Amino acid sequence: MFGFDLIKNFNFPYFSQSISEFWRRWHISLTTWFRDYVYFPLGGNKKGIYSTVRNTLIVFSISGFWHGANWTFIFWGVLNAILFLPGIWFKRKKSVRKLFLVFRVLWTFTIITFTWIFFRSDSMSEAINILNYSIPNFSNESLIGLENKLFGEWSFSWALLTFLTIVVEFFGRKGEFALQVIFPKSKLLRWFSYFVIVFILGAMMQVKKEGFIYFQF
Amino acid sequence: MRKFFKQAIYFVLILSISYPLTIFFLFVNNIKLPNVYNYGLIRTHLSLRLQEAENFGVVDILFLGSSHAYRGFDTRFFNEKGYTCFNLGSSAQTPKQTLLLVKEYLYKFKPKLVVQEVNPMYLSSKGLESTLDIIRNDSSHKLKFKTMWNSANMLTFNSYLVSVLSSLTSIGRRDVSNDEADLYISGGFSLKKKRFHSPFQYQSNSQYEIREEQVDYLSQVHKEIENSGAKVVFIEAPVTRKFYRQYARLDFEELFKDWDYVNFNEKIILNDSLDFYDSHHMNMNGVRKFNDLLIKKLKNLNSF
Repeated sequence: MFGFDLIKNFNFPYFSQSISEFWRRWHISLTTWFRDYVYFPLGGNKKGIYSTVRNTLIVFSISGFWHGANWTFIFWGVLNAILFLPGIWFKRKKSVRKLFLVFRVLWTFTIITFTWIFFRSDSMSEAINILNYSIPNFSNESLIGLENKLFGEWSFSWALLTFLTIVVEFFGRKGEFALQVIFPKSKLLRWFSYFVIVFILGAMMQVKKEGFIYFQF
Repeated sequence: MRKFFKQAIYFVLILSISYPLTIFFLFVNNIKLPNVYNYGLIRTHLSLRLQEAENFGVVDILFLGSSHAYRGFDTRFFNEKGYTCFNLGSSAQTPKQTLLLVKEYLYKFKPKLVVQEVNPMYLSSKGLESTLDIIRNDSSHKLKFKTMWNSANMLTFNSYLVSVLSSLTSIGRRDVSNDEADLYISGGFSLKKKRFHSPFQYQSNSQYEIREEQVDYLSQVHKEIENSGAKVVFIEAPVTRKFYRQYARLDFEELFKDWDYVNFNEKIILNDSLDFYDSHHMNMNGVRKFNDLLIKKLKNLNSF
């Protein structure tokens, strides 16, 4: 953007088809640092299955601990290691049907979102509480609540906007930036899109006090 | 680098024109946006008060504070006793906004005495309601801008943009309804015609959480007024007994230990139904009793 070339730190991670692919696309600068300075010096995956399992667990545990001295982060790291390991041995087929691709993306997204519960919770008991409350309750009252959430004053607009953003990002994921792929020749449309983004942030995203988690470091 | 700055400047220029216009266009066409104050174009008595304040001249007493001030201090009673005064209260005014008003208007009124209404409810508030109230009502733009700047967030910024564009174009602006039911009296008092209150049971055992920043603003207000040579008295106006007992007050009085402060909830006995029109605003029966006692108290404090 604006003629600057910056290191790509997140490469459409939520379109990953597996956990191992997700970790190649998420927070790339940090992940490659852990790979180059912790995983490889420990032996990587060259010294047999036990060594690989041990090294993966160590790297992800340290990664969890790096985010904060809390059992939730450690658990999050170990959980990711367990989910990551199968990807080392079971390589995916290069050509998959589009329907299957979408399913894999959705499945990976679901698993990753599940792990974020532990990452964002203040304690393990809070994480367990969140999981308990996440189990759907199909009573009449909760269905009314669901209807309000889906079709409340702004909920439907937000859902539509989120869906449109996902579509734009999905079709533009192969390029440097999604909008450059969608509108390769029209600067006017690209700038209009930038304006829409700023407008949504300014006029619709209600200000919250919580800071972005990486600001703490 | 040159390309970057060129594009950045173009983008900011386009944005600074298109962003306010888009927000304003959507707002006046009744498309409500989460970060714009819904009542941003409806003016209240405060607009009349601020207009009158511009050319009112020198006064003996200046009243400041929340709705408890502009509905509780009836300037006519003070005029009858020979004191000139102006009531510069605004909705949910907290010390944060009081400081802005003091800096803006103290030198115009040159009062001998400033009576500032305080209560724990508004010292526990961030002051957003009051900020938005001033932004939508002020037509001088200077105070409007300072108020917005003082409380930097997107809600106040967007509401400021809507208010400025509305003032400049007169599109969408709805002037205050000033009628028998709710009448603005010259001098700043707002007279509500609704007569009595039907008390209901509140939940008890709640408590206020006084904000440190508001206490700090309160000290600054006190300092600013004293530097101008005026005396300042802090007054807690009466509310219904049920409303008063709803919250634990903790050490609210301690905040005023070095200053002149009178809590009228402990000095006057009013009837929750006959002297109030809602849970924390007096009707004219209550205002009359309260103001009579207030004048006596101010005299005892050698305020004038």
